[in-house]
Amino acid sequence: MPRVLLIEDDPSVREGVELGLRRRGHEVRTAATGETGLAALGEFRPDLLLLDLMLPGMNGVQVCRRVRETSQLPIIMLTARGDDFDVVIGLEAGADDYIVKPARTEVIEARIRAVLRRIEEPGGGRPAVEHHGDLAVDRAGLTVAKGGERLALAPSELKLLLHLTAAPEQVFSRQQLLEHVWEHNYHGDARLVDACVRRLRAKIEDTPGDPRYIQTLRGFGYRFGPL
Amino acid sequence: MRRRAAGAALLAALVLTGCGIQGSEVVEAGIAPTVAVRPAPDNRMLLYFLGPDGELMPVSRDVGFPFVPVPEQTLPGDGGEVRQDRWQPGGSGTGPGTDPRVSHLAATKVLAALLAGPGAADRQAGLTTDLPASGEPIRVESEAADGLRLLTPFLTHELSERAVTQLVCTAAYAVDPAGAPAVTVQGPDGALPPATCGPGES
Amino acid sequence: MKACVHPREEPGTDPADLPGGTAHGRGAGRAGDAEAGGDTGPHRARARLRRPRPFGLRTRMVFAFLLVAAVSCGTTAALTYRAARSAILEQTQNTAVSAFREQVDALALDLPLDETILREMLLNIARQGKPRPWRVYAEYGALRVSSTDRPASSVLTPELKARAHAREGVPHTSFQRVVKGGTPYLTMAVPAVFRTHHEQGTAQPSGLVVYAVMELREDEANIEALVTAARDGALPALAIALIPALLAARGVLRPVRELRRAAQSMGRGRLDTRIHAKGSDELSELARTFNESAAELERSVAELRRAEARARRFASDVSHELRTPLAGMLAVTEVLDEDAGALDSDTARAVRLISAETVKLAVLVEDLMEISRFDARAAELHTDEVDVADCVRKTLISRRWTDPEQVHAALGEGIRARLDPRRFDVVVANLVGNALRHGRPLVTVRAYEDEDGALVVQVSDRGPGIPPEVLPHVFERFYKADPARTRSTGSGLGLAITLENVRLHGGTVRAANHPAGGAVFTVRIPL
Repeated sequence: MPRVLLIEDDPSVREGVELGLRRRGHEVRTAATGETGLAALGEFRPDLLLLDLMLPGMNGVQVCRRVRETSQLPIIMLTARGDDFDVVIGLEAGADDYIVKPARTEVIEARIRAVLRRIEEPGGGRPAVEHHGDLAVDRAGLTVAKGGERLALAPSELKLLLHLTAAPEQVFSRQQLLEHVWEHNYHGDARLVDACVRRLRAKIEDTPGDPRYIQTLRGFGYRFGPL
Repeated sequence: MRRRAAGAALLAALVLTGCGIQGSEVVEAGIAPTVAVRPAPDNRMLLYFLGPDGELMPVSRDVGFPFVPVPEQTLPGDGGEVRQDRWQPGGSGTGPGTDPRVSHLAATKVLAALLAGPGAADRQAGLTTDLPASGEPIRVESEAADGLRLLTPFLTHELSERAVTQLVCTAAYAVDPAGAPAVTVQGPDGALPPATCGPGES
Repeated sequence: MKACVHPREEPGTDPADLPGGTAHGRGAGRAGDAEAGGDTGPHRARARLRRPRPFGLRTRMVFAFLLVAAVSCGTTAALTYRAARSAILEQTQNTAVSAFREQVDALALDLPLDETILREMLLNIARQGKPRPWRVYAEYGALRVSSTDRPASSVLTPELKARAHAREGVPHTSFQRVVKGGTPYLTMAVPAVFRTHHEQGTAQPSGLVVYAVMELREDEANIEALVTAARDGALPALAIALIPALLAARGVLRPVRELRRAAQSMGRGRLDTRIHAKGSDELSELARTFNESAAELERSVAELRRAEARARRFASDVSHELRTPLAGMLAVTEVLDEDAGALDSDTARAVRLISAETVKLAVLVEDLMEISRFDARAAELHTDEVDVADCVRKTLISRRWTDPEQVHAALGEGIRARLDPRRFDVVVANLVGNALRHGRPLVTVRAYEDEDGALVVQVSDRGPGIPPEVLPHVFERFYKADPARTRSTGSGLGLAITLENVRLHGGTVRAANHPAGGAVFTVRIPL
């Protein structure tokens, strides 16, 4: 069972979520502030970080950025609906997904599983390493290299890239990508996709402003290539 | 609105009817002009005949005297005192004839001329007389208060009103330049009431 | 007085930002309909104000001015004309009469008169016509002599002749103007008198009456010229009167127009509109009153808005505060549910009740939060180009409304629209959920593009329909159709949120009853 680090300042939410997840067999460590959470990271070594955006002192977005500096740990943000601006900033900072509070444990766990899922499931029946231009995508090893240099991709970025490269030149709508990559229901928040694409482009494209690998088809969605 | 329209209509009517020259009533403009009648008053006698409409028409006849001022000479008619007036400026206020007998004599002649009726020239101008022809003359007598009495040979009651006026005026002017004396016409049948030859009596 | 509109607000401010469009109650005008959405009111108002006015204030003022000018011009001209005409005529008459009398005065006659001599005299007089030529006629006894071919003139009236021959009183010179055949004549009659004696003699009628007939054509022409002059003077005067008329009209109309513009601007919600009022006439008084009223109105409205904002913030704050404890509670409901079996029955019931109500409370708070955001205009539209049929289908599937006996979907394929997928999902889910709750199956969902190029989503059921008295209120918050049923399974905000979501898309939603029975909700969103 995955190990989850929960950083949440509100005791009732912290306790409720911890209780719910633990009941479902997760190993949960909680922290009330960003600082203690960051401190717990190295020692607890979680599989996933549940991060409240509104934190006293160091806020969720800052924590997210700090984490991304060193690791590609899956991060799910906890937000309240209406904090739209924070959601976008959080996603830009590198979060893989977000959950709107209040949420049932059921929902939280489903998201956790979804974020963690694909990484553990390599695509079968394909050559170990695919080459797309300068990119070398290793589906088994779940690594991507550009020009021989390995790229540090967050789980959502990696999954998105794997999904798109699995069917090059095929157009996926945002809603389809949300369904397949994030396992959201169809009516998800397309900004999740857009933010992830922006982050990915920043890492793999030569000129992010004029993308070559992940192309936008206005009104329809995204596709990989053609190169 | 209606009142305004009425006002405009009134104005328009005023402007329109006031245009151009309109006819007028008969307007009196001063007294009538005075013409000179020849011969001069001293040398004429006035006979009153009748116009076509019965109006009194004066006819002036030359009496044949030259216009020579002879102060010591007494003349018939009214010439004497006129001459005296001319010789004596400021004497116009004096009464009529100084010698009634002379006047009466002239008047008798004048009345005889009247009885003779209009002459050829007179008839040509359409003048007539209403007086009957008579061989006998009319005698003139003085009455009290400068009045005259005409003794006519014909019946006064048979005389028309116009004929009486002819007599009265001719006689009055024969003895007095102003025609002022009252004249009583008396015939064999009696006398008519005294009358004067004033304007308005025709 | 000078006036101009001073909107202190930026001109770019969109009047649509201000609350004003009434969503509810508009349906009252249409039997069986409840409509909500776009409002065309201001456009109609603007169209009405642009209508041309043939008998407007300006026209009337100009007419009044011209009338006054015409009356004064006309009166002045008429009076001047009359005076001038009288002067002209008098001058002519006086000259003519005295000249004629002089001529007759100079005559020396023999009585009776001889026709030939008389004629000589008349010809002589006729040559002396003053100020204009005249024709001379004479009557003496039966003689009728003239200076012309005809012995008598038809212009001379019997009245004039009678006056000339009158015996009563002193004989007078007399004249008369006669218009005959369109020509004006001056006719004069002088009865010639003579003195019976040089000094004392009375004036006796000589029996001669002399007439003169003078044409007044020339005078008429002079008078005509006067009329022309009067007209030529009056017409430019009228034209000039037009200028002050227009100026005065402008002076009145401009403030009126400013006032109208200001009132219009106020009507569009710009309550800080003020009129620049200068001077002390009635119109600036009006402008000042307008400004005072506007200030008062602005103050009251601001007060109301503040109160409304406070109330909204309160609702928003309350739901915010409720959310955090709810988040904790909601996270543990499953724990409660799972362990309830192990507890004794009363405790288990209590625990399950708490769990179930927590879930409902969470939904209610979530809905309240959503409504607060709409009220605060903080709701954002995150649009994405989607396939409408796909969208609706996914909504039905995710809610597990897949039983064809319950919900039937008739969706036009291939309609792509820019929508906020999450909000659109809420709209469809709320309408279908509402139909399932309050109506009866079969619930039909239709999606198609109408002839105006708008996306139409229609949800109908086969239930009893909506009572007419409820129709205007279906989109109101917490509106309970049946007061006895104090709680429904929904939050009571579902249709209100639906309405807000549709509006956010720039669309309308309408509730009506189908003639064949059942409620029909129609959403129309421009593509």
